[in-house]
Amino acid sequence: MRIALAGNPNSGKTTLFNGLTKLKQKIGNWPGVTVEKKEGRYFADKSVELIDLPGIYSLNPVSDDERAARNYLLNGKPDAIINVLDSANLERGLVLSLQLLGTGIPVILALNMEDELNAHGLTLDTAAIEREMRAPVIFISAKRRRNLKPLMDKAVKAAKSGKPEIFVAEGETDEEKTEFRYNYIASKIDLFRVKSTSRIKKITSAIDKIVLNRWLAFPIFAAVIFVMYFVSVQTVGRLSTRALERLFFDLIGANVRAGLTNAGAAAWVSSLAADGIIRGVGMVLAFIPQIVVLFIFITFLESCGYMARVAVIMDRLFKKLGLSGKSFIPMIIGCGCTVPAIMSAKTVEGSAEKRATVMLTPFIPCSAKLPVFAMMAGALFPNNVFVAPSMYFLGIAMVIIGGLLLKTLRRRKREDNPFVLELPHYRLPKFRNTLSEIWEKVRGFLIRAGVIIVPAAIILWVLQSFNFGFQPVDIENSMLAAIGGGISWIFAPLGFGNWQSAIAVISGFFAKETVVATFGIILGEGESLGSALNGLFTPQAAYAFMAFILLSAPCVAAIAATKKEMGGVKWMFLAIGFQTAAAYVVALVINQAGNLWAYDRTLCISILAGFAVTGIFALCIYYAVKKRKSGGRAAGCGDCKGCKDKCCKDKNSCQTEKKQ
Amino acid sequence: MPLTQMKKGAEAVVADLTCQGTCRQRLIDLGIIRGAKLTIRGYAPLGDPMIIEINDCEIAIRKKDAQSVLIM
Repeated sequence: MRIALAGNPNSGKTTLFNGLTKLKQKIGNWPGVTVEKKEGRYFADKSVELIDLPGIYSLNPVSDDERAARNYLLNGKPDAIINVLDSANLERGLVLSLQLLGTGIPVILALNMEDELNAHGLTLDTAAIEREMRAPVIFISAKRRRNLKPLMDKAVKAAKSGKPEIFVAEGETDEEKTEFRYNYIASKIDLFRVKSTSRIKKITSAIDKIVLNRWLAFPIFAAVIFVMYFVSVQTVGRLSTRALERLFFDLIGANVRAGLTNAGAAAWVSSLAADGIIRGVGMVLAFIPQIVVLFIFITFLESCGYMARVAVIMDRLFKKLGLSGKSFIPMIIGCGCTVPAIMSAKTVEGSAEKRATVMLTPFIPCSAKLPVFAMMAGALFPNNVFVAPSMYFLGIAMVIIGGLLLKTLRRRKREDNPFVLELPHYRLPKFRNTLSEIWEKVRGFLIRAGVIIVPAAIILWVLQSFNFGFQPVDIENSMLAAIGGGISWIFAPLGFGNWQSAIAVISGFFAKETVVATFGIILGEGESLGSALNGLFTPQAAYAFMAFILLSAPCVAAIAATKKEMGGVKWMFLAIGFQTAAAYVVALVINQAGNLWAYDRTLCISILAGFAVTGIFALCIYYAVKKRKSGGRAAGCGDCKGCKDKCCKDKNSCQTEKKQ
Repeated sequence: MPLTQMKKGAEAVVADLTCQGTCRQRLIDLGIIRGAKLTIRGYAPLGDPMIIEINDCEIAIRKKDAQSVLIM
């Protein structure tokens, strides 16, 4: 038996799905968390298959995720539909219910977030809803896992009987039918609930007054990002990373080596274990505390309701870049991992905007790049707190520049897609759900450390210990040095033309964590790593290296996600080429500018001043010309640009007014 | 008169929609239909999109799309 979960975006379908299946799919507080259908089995009766669908407003889809949901409901032939409704947002939810009731599939209405409804000072009359909607109705709390069993009993019963009443909407076109449904619900809604003032609504609008304030919105956003990176890289993480390094290298590493030698193992075995695997994996695992702190921040951002606000703040700016405000949601998820971030680009309406979002999202530093920044910053900029957060802002700057570039390169005219985004009420995340979200992310990090770093460490150890004739040699004569030396010239203009960095860059292609593992294996750990890095890099070269790792082609998993979302190999190569070219150019500029700065500061300052003066001058001229063209504009006039201090109906009437 | 000419805090009733295709579809799905009551909650920091409240739910909508919502 197959039962589908359907409903409006952000109504709690996946939270319910996780409760019913004991799975741990991603949840959050913004519309469009789930972008693909997910399958699982009911924990109490394994014969019941549950399908979690992306949220929809109607069976007429606009974006790719909605299309997937509609196709399953209409063609997948589920035996029943559990229609999850946000009790605090009942009216629009019930309109979709009527459409679902028209499909002939049995529908159960699950009224979710009853607790929030109570905070709104409301109660719902389930008997009235059941009578008017002609479908079974039940209160549930997906978050607190309340009433889940009775819900499933009703659903199974409905699926077995299989003869629901079909609601027929009157009207010729889809539009008339939708209007009919809205009017039907509007005429009944007063039977369903009693209205009163709401606390949550007041809190939400109070918070919105601050975070959407004209002057505070951007500083608050920048502060949130800065704090996130500052705390995870500089404070908590740094101390515990030291401790973990000591644990891995001084305790485990040394003891394993001693133990293996005592047990009579060959020298190469103990070296492989201690210098290869433990050092490589240890280098990565030592950053776990920093990663956990970062994940705590991201999970809180995802579940509190701020994400949708960021999309609103950014929309104006991003529209200019040929993106949508919704493009910013992938860019916050991308602080954790680029793969789900790229997948979440599905909610962006319009294929051109979606493609640009997929191409630009990898510029945002994911958690796997964090250890690289932390390692380099710790070794070369030990007293500068801005280096790690600056990577995030460099990422955003590149998103902006890249967006402008892609927009100019785009030949076809932009499709005209609506931007409409629902703003959910703020919610304090439930502790258990937050913990499990964080654990899921950390688990992914640990699995990568095992599946990718261990084999990579073994390969690196073999390559650095032998020459091409498989004779044991010291590292400078090894295969690794030869391979790295063969390509290091590519990176020479960027300031890191040594074979060690070349190998690190290549290994980063499999997973960005491998970069730190590689340096650990090649250069040693702890104190010796710090001094070795100082020997290999000048500060400007180190910063260029960080920028290169930040911007260059993402790891294989993210590239696979890119291919899937872009819909083709051609697009995938285009994206990789674009990202790598951007990385090369930016790293080149950073290193050469840094060199110039170190060589002659006065020259550098005068060039900068020259650029600044020219820029300001150009801007002044641009605005002067623009202002002359448009004239003054009254507030709230929308697109009307032609008349002085007056609103006009549209652009054309504006011009005629002016002529007269 | 289009929705974009409304001031913050104003209430209005939808008279008609002038756009077609996906824009119209999305607006109707969200309950912006003839006769629906809505309130202007405000504008984003950069002036676009605008935020409206309809059916107890806050929605951000670009001015370009709001332009096609005619109100009375």
